[in-house]
Amino acid sequence: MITMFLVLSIVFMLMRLLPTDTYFGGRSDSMSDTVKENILKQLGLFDPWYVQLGNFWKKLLLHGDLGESIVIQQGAKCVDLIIPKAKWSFQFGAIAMIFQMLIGYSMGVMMARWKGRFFDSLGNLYILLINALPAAVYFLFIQIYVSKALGLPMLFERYNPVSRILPILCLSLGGIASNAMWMRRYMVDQMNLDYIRLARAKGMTSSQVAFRHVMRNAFIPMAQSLPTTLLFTISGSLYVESLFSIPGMGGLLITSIQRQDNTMVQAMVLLYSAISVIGLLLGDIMMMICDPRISLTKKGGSR
Amino acid sequence: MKKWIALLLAFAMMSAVFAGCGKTGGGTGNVIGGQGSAAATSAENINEKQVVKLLYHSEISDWNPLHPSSASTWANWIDSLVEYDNFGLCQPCLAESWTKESFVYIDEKGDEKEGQRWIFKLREGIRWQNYDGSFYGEEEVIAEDWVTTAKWILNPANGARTADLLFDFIGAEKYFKDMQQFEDGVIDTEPDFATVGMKAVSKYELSMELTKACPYFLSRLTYNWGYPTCAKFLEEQGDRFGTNNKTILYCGAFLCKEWEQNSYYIEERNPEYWDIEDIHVERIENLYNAEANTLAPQALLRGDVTYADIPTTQIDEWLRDPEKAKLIRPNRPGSYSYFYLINCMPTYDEKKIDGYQLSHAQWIAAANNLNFRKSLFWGLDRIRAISCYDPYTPETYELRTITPENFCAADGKDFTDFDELKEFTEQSQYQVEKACEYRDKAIEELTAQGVTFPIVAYMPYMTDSSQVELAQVVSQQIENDLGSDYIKFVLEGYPSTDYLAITRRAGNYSFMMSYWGPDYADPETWTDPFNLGQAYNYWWHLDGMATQTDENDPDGRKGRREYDETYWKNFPYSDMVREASAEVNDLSKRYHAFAKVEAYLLDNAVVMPLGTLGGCGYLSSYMNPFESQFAPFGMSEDRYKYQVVMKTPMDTETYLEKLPIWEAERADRIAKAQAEGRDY
Repeated sequence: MITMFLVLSIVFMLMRLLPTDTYFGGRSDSMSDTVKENILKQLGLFDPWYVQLGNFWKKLLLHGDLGESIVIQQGAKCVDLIIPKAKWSFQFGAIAMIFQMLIGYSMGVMMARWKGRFFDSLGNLYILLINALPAAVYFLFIQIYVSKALGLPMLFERYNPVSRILPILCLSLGGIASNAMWMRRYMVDQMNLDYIRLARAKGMTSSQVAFRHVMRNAFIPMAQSLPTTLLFTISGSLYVESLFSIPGMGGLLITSIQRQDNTMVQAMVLLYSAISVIGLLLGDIMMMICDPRISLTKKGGSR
Repeated sequence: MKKWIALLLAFAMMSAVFAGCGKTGGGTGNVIGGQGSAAATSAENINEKQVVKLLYHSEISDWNPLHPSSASTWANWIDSLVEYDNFGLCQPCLAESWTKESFVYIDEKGDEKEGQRWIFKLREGIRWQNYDGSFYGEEEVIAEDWVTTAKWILNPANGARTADLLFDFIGAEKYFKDMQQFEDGVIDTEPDFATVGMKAVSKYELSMELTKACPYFLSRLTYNWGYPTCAKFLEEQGDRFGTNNKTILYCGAFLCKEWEQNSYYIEERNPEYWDIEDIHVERIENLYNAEANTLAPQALLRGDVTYADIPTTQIDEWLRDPEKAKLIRPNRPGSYSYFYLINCMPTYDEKKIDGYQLSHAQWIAAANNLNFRKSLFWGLDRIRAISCYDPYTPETYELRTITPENFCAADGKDFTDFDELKEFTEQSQYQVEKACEYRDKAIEELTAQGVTFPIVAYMPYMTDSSQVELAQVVSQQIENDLGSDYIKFVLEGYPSTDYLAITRRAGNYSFMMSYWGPDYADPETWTDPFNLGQAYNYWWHLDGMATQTDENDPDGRKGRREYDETYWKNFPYSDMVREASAEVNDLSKRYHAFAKVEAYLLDNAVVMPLGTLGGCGYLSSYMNPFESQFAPFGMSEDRYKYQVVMKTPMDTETYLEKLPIWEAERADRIAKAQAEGRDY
């Protein structure tokens, strides 16, 4: 809560330091001073900073009101602008995340299982390629050539479900690579630990060991980031969304800052900081669920 | 559908027969759109499907017709009192006719003044409609609706960006300021709107009273402050008014039937429109696409859009392919005038860039030297500069005056052809020899003053635009022609966000390119940027140009709010503009006086005309540019009245063939209107 308060207040103050010309639309050069000053006054920009900040918090806390957009879509409630966009981004992001987890984790598990063998090398090649090539290169490749080869539309079309395949593919590729890489790494780490050797020595089959012990333990460090990643899919992907023309959130924050839509910037900063805080909390809870050794409440005694 | 086309064709043929009789221009004379222009689309080239398809890349930011200053989204949804025809002449729209007269009024100081009263007789029986075409109760478009608009705009609480456009209405500015004070609690009684010179005389008669005669008043009416608003609806909607397609009322040619944010909006022809015979387009489909500009050319080839700008980088490819070359044509020169400025109030950091030291003192000394300024004026190669925007026909876009061609005319002559401007228009403004003569004189004079060479000029440019190339080409060209030991340009790029606020307005440059667009149909509009109160070149700061004074001096005017808080008087340019604009009856006299003002500006070489870069380049379009309503300001060109969708996009050959026909027709009509003493 304190983090959110500080972040929002600082951003609020910084936005007030910018030049005022954007508030006058295209008429900055020809508008009379009387009208200019009136516009700034109506926006409350002539009040001392603590009054402005106070008003902002009062409105937010008492009425839950984030205000209205002043540039992007004049007069529209910020929330009404953000929610439809966030829905799109979340839809794509969440589906992509499912693929990232399903394919990424199973790839990592298999790579660790057959470490040093052909599948492992193939997987490593994929990870290396995805990480080494700039995303723009393979996104464009997919949009232009893969769409042609498979006969898929180059752009997202709302009522054409097939058109969602390529954007989701693009969104998944990076995540698959990193999920596989970390899964493999943590599993390899675990496999060399003593308790695994003991389990093997006790006569457990290697697949039993891999799934009951290695994978479960390897998953713990990754569990923490899952909720944050899932929640942050609503922020959208700037590049993929603009490439495939998806009406999502990607770029909305940047546009709002560039066009100096203060209320929009505040609304989005609030949203993102809330996501970070909630995501971290959920992450801790996830860790607790996965790992019985971790507890959120203090346990007395044992040392 | 088929029936309608048959009817359309029949009408076309009939009008062709009639139009063919009295026509003087060339062409076959088959006319549907374009109000009898020989440049209109011939019947055989009319598309069966009258559907316009467009891509847009940024969401509609202003739905409120009362608020925006530049949005044209609803240009087709609401009509104004007057509108432009396809030759650029004002004609009746919601007003059927009008009269104007002078009258005497007592101003705030108690002095007797001569004002001007316009009375508009409205078209009767036009009813307000909802987005779906249903009537909004029994509400008609009446005179009171314009009063509602003015009242809203002049209420400071609404923060309208257009309030100052009404300040020359009697009592308007005082009302606005009084309302501010009332809002702040300084005064107790709410000011009475009846003191403002905008009144409904009767249901269908609207009176507008101006503090002084305004010869170009009609052209101002096509701005959004001149659009009607239904008071009942405004009150009913409250805060929701003008936030989407359902919270505005319609009385125009199209209805915005569907809109989904970041997705699409669909406009359909309004079957109840009063002038439906002139509306040929049935449907306008606007599809959202974040990459609209990049994709439009490909989409056009597939037949998915009606219009596409061809990016400069792709023109070559399109022109080389014979099939594609048939689909494109040059853009009609835009109405924005681009020019180079010499800054007389430098504020940039006096830093060292690439080994060259920026110095205010050095630049001010140079800028104060007329010969130095003239050496740049005559030493700038305009054609080469414009080539950065259009390498194929740069001459088309060259300007030798600030006022562009085809803007206004008197005595059968275009403003730019007036004798006063001959010195600048009848010869190329790129004459190296002449420039070098001025350079030599400047070196002599400046050296005597102890100024060192080269003069270091700071030139900012916008990084994400064609300005990058322009800045390089222009700086190298001038340095090559005049010598880099005479002038050395130091370039620095700035992002597009707040570009003008950071560079030009702040005085953060020595020499840079900028532009101005007209606000109304009068040469006075082109004097605005260089006058006191504007942030262009601050040339009242030149030695001996004007007298500095303070805010207590009644004659003093502020340099520019926020950027130049000094006060000035006796600025000859200001005085000349005031004198020229005092002539309100004899248009010919008035225009010639403004031509003199412009000659004075150019002669001082503080600004150098460049071209109409805004409309540079090629495009592909199924619409005929000579049919569209034409005006260099307002929203006329976004209206679909008179236009038809063609079977194939217009090619370059046809465009070049039709352009002079249209220009001749336009000149003809203007001359006729002037001869008849008609307002246009």
